[in-house]
Amino acid sequence: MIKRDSLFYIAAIFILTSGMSFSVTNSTNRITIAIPDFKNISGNRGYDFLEKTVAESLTTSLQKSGKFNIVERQRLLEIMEEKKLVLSGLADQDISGEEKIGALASADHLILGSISSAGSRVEINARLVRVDTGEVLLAEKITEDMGDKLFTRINDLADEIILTLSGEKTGLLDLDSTPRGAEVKIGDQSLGETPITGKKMSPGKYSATLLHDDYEIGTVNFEIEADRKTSVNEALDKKPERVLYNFFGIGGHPVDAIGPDYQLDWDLSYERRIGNLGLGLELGTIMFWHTYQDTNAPGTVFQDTMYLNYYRADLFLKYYLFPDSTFVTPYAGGGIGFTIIDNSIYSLSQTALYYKGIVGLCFLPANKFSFYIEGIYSGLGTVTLNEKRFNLFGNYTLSPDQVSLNNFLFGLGIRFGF
Amino acid sequence: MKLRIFILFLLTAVMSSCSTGLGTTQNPVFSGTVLINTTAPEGSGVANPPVFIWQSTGLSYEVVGVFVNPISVQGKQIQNINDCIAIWDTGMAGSDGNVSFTLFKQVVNGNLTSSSASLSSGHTYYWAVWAYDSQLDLTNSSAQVTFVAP
Repeated sequence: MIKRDSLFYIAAIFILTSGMSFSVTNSTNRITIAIPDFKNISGNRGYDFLEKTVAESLTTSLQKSGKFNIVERQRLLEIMEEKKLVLSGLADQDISGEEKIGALASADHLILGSISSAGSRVEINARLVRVDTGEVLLAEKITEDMGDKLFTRINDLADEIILTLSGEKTGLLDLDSTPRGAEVKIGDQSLGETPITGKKMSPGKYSATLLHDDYEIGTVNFEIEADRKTSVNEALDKKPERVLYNFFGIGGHPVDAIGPDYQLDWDLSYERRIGNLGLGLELGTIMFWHTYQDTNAPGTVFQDTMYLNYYRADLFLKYYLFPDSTFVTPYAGGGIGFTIIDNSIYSLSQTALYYKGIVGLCFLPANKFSFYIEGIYSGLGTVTLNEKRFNLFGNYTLSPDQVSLNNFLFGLGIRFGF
Repeated sequence: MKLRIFILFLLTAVMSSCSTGLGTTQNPVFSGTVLINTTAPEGSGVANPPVFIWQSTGLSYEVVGVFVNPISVQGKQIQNINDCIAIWDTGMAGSDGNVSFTLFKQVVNGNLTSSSASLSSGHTYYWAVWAYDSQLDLTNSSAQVTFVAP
């Protein structure tokens, strides 16, 4: 029993001891990295903030990996203050100051860098230096516009440093696209824009998406092998031009011209889109009927229907609210034109100016095809129609009647782009 | 022989002319229209009240007019509308083709009124029936018929 207890305590002490030992060993075996502030040598004071920001961004990324000990920035500042050391920031070949700082901070590696400008873009030069030998393990240059993409590239740099220091075997990726300028993403992580050359990556299989404003999303699958370069080139498909710049339209509108009758109005139009505006020519026709009653007919009421052919041509201007939409855009506009109202039976032929107001919704479900629902108010004015009046003592007599042709059209149409 | 034939032709022409001037014509009152056959009233000794009987046309509108003087027509328009004293038309009470005079309405200066019409006993009247199609074209009419009011 005593033996059992003794064995238990010995085992417990051994486990605790070995655990502590392991923990200490693990921590002490980690590579220690010092990341002094980068130096702004651009002459642009507006970039001063990047001196600390870039260093802190790298520090955060490396700390997140859990593989390194990072010397506290405050500790570095104290050493610099105490030893009166100055950072060269890679401005010249003399990095003795940085190396001393590294040595004094017991760092194995230093990440040094400078900030300069390349035209309107920011240029960051960075080196990973081994403190004891001064060997440059990695040298990278980032040139990017100020913004999110710059910090994405800084994260990429941190990944490369991790790969370099971890001793893992890596492969290289060359990724290009047609056209260039596509953003490459693996999962949520951005690798930057194409062309990407010599990107260090851990061996493995990857699936990357390529994003470009004017093109469909591209997907490339590739495999990175250790100590080998993988080259990928992806041609992106251009996005369908769903916004129709030129199109013919044809549509039918039931029309309540006079009374409760609904007739079809046929239109054919040509339209050219310029930005939010659509300018076009439309031809239309309705055969409408005018129904009237003659209450003078004794006994039985006389009812007659007069058929008129009505042709119109107009120039119109429309304003599209969402001209770049690939789904739907409302629009409104107006037009002016002339009409010819004709009926050979009644010897009627009348030409008049008219105006119209338009509101509608244009749907764009596919490339070069759209359909629309539209409401039109047409101010066609009046026409004089000779209505038949019952004559008790002989043939009918004709009675002129002013009939309004103003009407509201509502209907559907389709359009084809070319 | 030729002389006999000429005399026969001449007599036929004269007789034809006399018939037109003296009796009731068998032509429709509106030229170019389809004839409507009439039965009564005609001549004297008609029923009291007179019953107007004609061959129904089935058209949209039919009008029966009674005049105090022979009906005068130019083209498809009656000229002496002031001579019309009574009318019946489709839509009023009465069967198409058989209507009693009691269902007629009075006409004053060519205007149809809502008053009942009346006849003066022993006077001679002239009547006809005419009909319109659905387009108000006057397509059928009877000959003018003379009767004496009972």
